[in-house]
Amino acid sequence: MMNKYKIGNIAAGIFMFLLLGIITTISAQVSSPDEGLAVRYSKKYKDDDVMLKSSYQFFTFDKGKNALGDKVVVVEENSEYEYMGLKKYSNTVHPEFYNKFIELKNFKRAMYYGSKYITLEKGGYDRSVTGDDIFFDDSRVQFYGLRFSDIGSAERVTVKKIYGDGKYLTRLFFHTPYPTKERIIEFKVPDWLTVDFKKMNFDGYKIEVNETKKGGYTNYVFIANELPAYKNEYRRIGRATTDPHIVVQIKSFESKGETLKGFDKVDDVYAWNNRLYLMAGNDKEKLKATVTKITEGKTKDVDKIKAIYYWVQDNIRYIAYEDGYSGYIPSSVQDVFTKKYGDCKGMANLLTEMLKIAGYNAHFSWIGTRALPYSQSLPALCVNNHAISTLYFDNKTYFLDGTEKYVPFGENAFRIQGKEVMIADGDKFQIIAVPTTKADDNKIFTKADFTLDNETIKGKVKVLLTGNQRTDFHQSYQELPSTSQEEYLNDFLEFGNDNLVATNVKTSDLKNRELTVSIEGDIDLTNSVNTISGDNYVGIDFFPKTLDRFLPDEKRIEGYDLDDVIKFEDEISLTVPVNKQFTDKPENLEIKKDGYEFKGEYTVTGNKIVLKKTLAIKNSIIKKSDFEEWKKFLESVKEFNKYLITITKK
Amino acid sequence: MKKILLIILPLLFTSLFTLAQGVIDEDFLDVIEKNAAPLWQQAAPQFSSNSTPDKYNKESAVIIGFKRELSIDKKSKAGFLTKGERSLIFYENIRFKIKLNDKNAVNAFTEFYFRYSDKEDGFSAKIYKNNGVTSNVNLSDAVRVESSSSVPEFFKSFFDQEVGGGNRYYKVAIPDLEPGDVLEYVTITKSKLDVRGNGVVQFSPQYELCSKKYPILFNQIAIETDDKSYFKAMSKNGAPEFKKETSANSDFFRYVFTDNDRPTEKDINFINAYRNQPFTKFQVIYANKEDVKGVLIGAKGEIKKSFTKEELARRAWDDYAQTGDYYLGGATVQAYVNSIWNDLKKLGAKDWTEKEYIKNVYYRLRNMVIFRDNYLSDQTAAYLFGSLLFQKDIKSDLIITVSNNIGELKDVLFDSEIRYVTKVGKDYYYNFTDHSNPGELVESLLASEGYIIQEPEKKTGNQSIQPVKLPDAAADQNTALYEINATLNADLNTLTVSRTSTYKGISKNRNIADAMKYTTYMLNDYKNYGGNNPTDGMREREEEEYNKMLRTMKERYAEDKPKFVKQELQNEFSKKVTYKNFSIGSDGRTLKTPELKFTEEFELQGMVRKAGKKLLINIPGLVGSQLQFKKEERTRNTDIDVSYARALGWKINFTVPAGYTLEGLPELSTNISNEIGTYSCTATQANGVATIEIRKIYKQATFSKAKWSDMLAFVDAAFNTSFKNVLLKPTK
Repeated sequence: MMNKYKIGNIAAGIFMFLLLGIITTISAQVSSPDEGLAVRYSKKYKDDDVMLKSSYQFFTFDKGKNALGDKVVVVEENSEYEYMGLKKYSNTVHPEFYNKFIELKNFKRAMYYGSKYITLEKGGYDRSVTGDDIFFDDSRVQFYGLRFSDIGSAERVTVKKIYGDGKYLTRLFFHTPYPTKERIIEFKVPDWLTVDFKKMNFDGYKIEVNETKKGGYTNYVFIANELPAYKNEYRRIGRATTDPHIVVQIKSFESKGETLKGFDKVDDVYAWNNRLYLMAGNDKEKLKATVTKITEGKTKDVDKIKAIYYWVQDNIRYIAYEDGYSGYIPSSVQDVFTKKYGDCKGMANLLTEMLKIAGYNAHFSWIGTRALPYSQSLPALCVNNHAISTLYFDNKTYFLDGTEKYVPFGENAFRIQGKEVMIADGDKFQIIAVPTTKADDNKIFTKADFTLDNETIKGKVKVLLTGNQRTDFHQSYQELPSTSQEEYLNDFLEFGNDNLVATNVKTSDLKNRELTVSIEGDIDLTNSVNTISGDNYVGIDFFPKTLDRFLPDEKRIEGYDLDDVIKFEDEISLTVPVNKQFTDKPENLEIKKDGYEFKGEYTVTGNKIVLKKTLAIKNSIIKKSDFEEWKKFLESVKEFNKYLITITKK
Repeated sequence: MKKILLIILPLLFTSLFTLAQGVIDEDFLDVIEKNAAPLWQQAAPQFSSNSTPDKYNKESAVIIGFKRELSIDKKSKAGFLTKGERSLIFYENIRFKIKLNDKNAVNAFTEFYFRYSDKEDGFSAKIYKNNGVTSNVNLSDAVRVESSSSVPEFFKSFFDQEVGGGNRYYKVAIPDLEPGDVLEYVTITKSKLDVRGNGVVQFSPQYELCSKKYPILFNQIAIETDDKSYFKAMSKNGAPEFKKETSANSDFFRYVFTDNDRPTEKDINFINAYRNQPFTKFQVIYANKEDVKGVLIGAKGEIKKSFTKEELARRAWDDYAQTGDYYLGGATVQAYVNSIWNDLKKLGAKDWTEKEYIKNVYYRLRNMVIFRDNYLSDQTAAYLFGSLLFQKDIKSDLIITVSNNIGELKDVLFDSEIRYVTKVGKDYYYNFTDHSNPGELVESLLASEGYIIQEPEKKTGNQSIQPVKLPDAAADQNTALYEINATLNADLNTLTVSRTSTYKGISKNRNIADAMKYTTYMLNDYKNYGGNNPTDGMREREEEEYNKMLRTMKERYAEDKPKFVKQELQNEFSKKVTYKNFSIGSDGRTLKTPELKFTEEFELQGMVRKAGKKLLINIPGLVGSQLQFKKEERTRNTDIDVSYARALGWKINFTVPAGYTLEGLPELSTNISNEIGTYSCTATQANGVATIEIRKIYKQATFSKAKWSDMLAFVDAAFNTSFKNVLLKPTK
């Protein structure tokens, strides 16, 4: 039997009502702990189906040992979430995530019935939540489906979790996926524990912080009220940059008269990271022959370094295997080398050791990508989520990322640019920021020359890609099936425009990742020539279609992270027969803003018109406060692009 | 005799394997590789070479060999504590070898999945490097796959594809893999299916397209069965046939399909794979007795390749006759017949005319379908309909037929390929959808060949079988007409558009579900068969609750429909759309309103360009995006299948804004007409309104590939016109 369109929850509910009226009649009697509140919220948050009436997380601290046998602080979390439906027949899911560091001890779901909550379930559905990009990890979830038969119907979820090592309780955000009336996060801190709660992005939010001391404990209570829901949005600025949250920093604790270190200073984080790094158990001997072979015949140091760096990029596949501490301890160099796969730590470890074998000053390093806006001065595990190799060479510092395929030596992926790197050096460490690049460094330059002849327009187009644009190209092109690569090149010259056809496509040496990528070919524009009453109307300005996706609508909550800085530079000419002329060429346009700029001008010389256009995104972040300017900017660029050149007979 | 639904078996297994994903247990590493060892010893000349023909050098990968052997054995061990004859044992051996030519192929095969669920399961894999070094893939790092549904079908055993989840699968990352490598694996699995109490088990029909994602040099499927199973197979469109071979086990029958050196299929659009591309189809049926009724099988040891009309008719009738005993949800089909007949009697069915009764029965059954998660099978639908007609002594004929995607009745090999239609007098009644009306045609059965079959005579067994051809629908019966009124907004940038779409025939069938989505058509559907209002007989509190539900539903749909329409329009035009209104003029769901007609009102951006003070408006673009044939599609290897003949028409009225004159209409004039179809565009202007009329007709459903140039001309004309503009010139 075929599947059919479902008629939807409500229609199905009506059918069930007709079939089993009595059951739904009973559910109709379900009362609400605060129907008035639900009605008020349903009017205020029309796009939301469910609200959190209250969310209370309570953390207590104890002493224990982690899997490595260390004395550590153990954290117990007891939480309670009270949901209410904002629409009839609404539903949602409450997930609780756990792994080898976080044990889910208790997980209950209760429904409000009559005047009290009745427990319905004591164990959620259990699933692995290993991402598609991870081969294996220990991340799991238990979840409940929550159903609300009416506005104000309520369900409550209670949770008990144990963090076996307090280091892994890192961040707590205030916003939830639901409009929240009251969100309370409370910590009951014993006197033997020194802990700090770093207030991140609290400015602009009313978050009440109370501190009370009693009986050997200090209670820290953070209260936020009337929070809108956190929404996933296309290319949203990372929530760690915008949303209020607490970073938990267990600094030290006393045990049997001894003061034990947590993460008081960045040195402590380094000591922990370095300890796990050294647990990799490297056996460098197995690499030596290959390092010799890779660098054989290379006389310059820079060529040897490149040979090693590119060998790792090209030969080590990204396959992540993260299970408990193995998510933090790099795979050994011999393991990665033999298997030819690994994750970022494994690749950084291998690359570092291969460079060291070749005689270079390379160091394993930790870094947080741009999604984590924290400085290395913050002593917490949430600062870093990536590993690279740092090389000191020729009085310069280079950051080599084995996971970034096709990045040339000396260039860095945008996701780590500007971020501080923690560089291992035995007992010491160094912190250096990865250099940033400018829009000019990452350019798409398009040069095209077209000729109009008897209502057909043909010409040659050449596209040059530099910086991250070149790397992005390689990362797409080189991974395609060889049977699809030609089509990809054609599409590149056709600007994603169905109406253009590219032929005779030629490229630069695409095996060399350092070269500017050059793609050129013949383009037939004939189909876009409009001949009306003997005159021709032609467009030679190819607006980057992708920018349309960054036009915010009225519901957009947060700004954009374009995840790149880029410059489009176009120089496009059209030559017409000598008996024809250009009329009505567009006005020049120039807009300069702090984060972005545009300049476009048409110049006519005899029977040739030339469009010179640059569009630069200099800052990848478009803040919400800048939306009005940003929209005007995009609209102006689109307006400029809308012009067609008029060609008439002389 | 009842059908066995294999799908129920996973339920037996799921509770056994709810373990977390974990690292493979070292204990069975030795076992699994040892079990696989005999497969490496088998003589297999097709797997001996690591090289591939030069003609495939530019392919991403080339499959050197793919050999699947399935042996099905009815075990009849009678032990001290076990009963005899209780299980079918499946032994599956697979050998696969592929040359990976590029990084994409390396990434595609960077992980391997294998089964280890039985102590006799075996797996091992090898990598052949360019330098001649061969290494075994180490399985010690394999990890358990939590849900077997995430295992790509390619790696699943035939049994697991049939029966579903339950068996444990693992995955391993293939070490030291790079372009140029050859990867080979062998796998052996043993599975057991408990068939106690089941007279017949029909395994799912298998359709094997010869072309794969990569060229394949050797593709072999071998099926071995004992004398309790039957085998049938049919090859089409030039595919090799299954052949009977001598089995090493004298008690077994062996059937082998071998295909050599098959390139990939390049054609993309207007393809009907099973009508145009080489493939074979086959099925294994287990039966524990000689006299098997209601099952399409041949003789034991025979490769049954087709069925006579007598065999089809007999089998279809036997199965149809049992339909009443089958379960539909919690009750038998016959119980539904009885219940609905009782309801209809209460509504006055005994007094209805024959015509009224047929109509009301149809709509009563459609109403039942609306509130189900799944459609009824053709067989169940015909049984319900025919049985309810029988209650009022209305004679109906049962027609067996076949989908035009399969071909003709001589191409029927499986039960599931038989379709059922009911005929009353001259009228044909097809299976119900949420929106179908009595007598409306079904795309997959247009012009299909059929037989009217009767119950066999009890004494002689003779059965009346009369050939019949189901109605076809010409292009003018499957129409989509769009009347579009467009004006330019004062911002000289946005078009305000009102589009009224009218669909008939198969074109209606294709569009009605989206049109009716998020509308409350189901609430008054009972009126179509003269049913009672659901609130009749409700107590006050129940009615209040019911009405509250309806209000909620209407409120929710009032939010969802605009979002849905807007998204659909944006997908159609690839431009930003502002939704204004949606209204239904005729829902197409009754005999009185057979057309589907609705109006969308919206604002559309990106259709206006400027040339000085002049404006160029892409009015022809209001037809929406048109199919484009890219360079790689401009030569054709297979015949053309456009599914059904149809006529589309657009009448676009564009109001010339005050202060402008309009030019460019003559330039839009186009007329292409050939054997494939017609594309025409005419444009006129009167009283300040420019009218562009476009016709696009696919004259038939299928065409020979020799007509591809006609298709290109016709499709290209539509595509090219959609980019043209009209010119607005300011009068001052």
